[in-house]
Amino acid sequence: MKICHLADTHLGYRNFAKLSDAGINQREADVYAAFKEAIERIVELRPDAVIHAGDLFDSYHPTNRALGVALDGFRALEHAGIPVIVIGGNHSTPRYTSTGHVFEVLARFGSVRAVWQEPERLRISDLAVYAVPHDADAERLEEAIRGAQPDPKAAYNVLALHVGLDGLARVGTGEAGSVSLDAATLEAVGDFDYIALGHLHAREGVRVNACYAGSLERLSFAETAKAKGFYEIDFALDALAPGRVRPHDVTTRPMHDLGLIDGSSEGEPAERIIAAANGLDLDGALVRCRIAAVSQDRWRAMDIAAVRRHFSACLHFELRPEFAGTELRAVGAPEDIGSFIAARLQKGENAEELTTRAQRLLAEADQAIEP
Amino acid sequence: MTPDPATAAARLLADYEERYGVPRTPPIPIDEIARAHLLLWVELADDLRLVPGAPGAAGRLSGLLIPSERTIWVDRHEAERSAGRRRFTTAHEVGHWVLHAQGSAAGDSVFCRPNDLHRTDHLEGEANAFAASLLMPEPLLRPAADASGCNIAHLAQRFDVSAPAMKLRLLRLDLLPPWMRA
Repeated sequence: MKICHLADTHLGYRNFAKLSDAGINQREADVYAAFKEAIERIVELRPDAVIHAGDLFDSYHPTNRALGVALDGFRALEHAGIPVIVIGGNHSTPRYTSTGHVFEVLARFGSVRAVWQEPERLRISDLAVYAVPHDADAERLEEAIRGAQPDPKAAYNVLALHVGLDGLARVGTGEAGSVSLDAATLEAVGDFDYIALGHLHAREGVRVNACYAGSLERLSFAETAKAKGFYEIDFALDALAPGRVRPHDVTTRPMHDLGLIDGSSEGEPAERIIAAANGLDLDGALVRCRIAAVSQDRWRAMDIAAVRRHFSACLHFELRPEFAGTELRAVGAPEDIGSFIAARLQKGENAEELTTRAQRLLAEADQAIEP
Repeated sequence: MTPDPATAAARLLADYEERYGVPRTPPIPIDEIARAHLLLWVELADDLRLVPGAPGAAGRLSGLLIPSERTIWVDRHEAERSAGRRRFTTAHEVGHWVLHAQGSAAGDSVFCRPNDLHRTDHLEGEANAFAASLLMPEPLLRPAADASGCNIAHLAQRFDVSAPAMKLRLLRLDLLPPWMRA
């Protein structure tokens, strides 16, 4: 029995004002390409099931294109005879039930078992999957997780969750409806053979039997992981055997954070910025560089044009000065950001979209200055 | 010759426990060890580069030890953001005190902690290894890791260190399966 675990595909994600040759947002196209590559790889691997641990879409009202890409992927899996279980994440869950859930569409689609309302136990042959969808109420979600029990009649038991864990990296948290629980919660469900986690964007194991699959593309500069992809879990192997949980990489656009260049010391900051990118593949890359403690005089005297010329092959290059005397502080994601935005909303603007974007940026800023 | 960091940390912990009769359970009381046992001052500062005696050309610092004043300085912003980070920085500077400053010819030098947990250059690497051994003693960590299935965030909470510091310690003790090592 083998399964593949992926999560946080965020289909429909857009960023930076750059268009692909096909005329769509380039980062949106990158996310689709990573998803398609993952599906093709999974079809080759022929697992007995695929578990998607939430945030299939970047928004609860995905575009037609995002929906089409998801359905194309699921159709490819269906043709290969691979059943799919997908749970709702915070991005794909609307705040109001009256909005309706996009998973209602998926649930009508062949072999996709979509779980978005309440926890469900699903069976696929010898495998029992206890699927717990996102719930914005942290207490209710924790209660649902603690109540999860392996099915004694099944040969293998998997728990699928979409939640953050306190103390881990913040990428993925600080977003709309995001929930983070005490890591001790996992101890209550330690008897499951595998816990398929979604929400945090780094692909990493957080317990011997619990892993975040992470996102398939880097969605912010806070995501510094070298590789992105999904996991294949082979239950025939011993719980601690090498190969029991095997990562598979997908192709991503190069993203480089050049780190913090000290702008206070002697020498030309522009030269240090260019030197920091030495040896990096800049063609089509996303690059960020922060300059710390630089005086406004030195910033004005800097040859920024030369820096931009050096990074002209990048899809996106951003230079962020932090001027001397103005220190960054952790900002977090204020709980009342929604009401802050709602009070300043202009005609035609979508409060929920703006809130999600603001919370993501705040989380990214917080992560960027987290040591 | 500098003593082995892990052995020195274990000895310091044993000395502390013998003197104060405190049972060895996590989290290790690093502030008590620094203040009461080693008679070091632990202070916070907004910018360690401005502390009298700090090296002028230093980049961003997390901690600073000025042995002649028996004082450890810790970056206030980091300390306020993360207790685990603050504790590791204090333990790192205690490491410099025990390994490099106390009773040595280098006792007049100033020791800094750059903002990097993974520093492996000689003195910084030794201080990091000392801090990891002191805050996450192997005899306590091994059974705890075994009992919790290497639940990194949970262990980090119990030992009151950051999750990256805990992961690195588990990695160095070879306690993680391959899929947790990335």
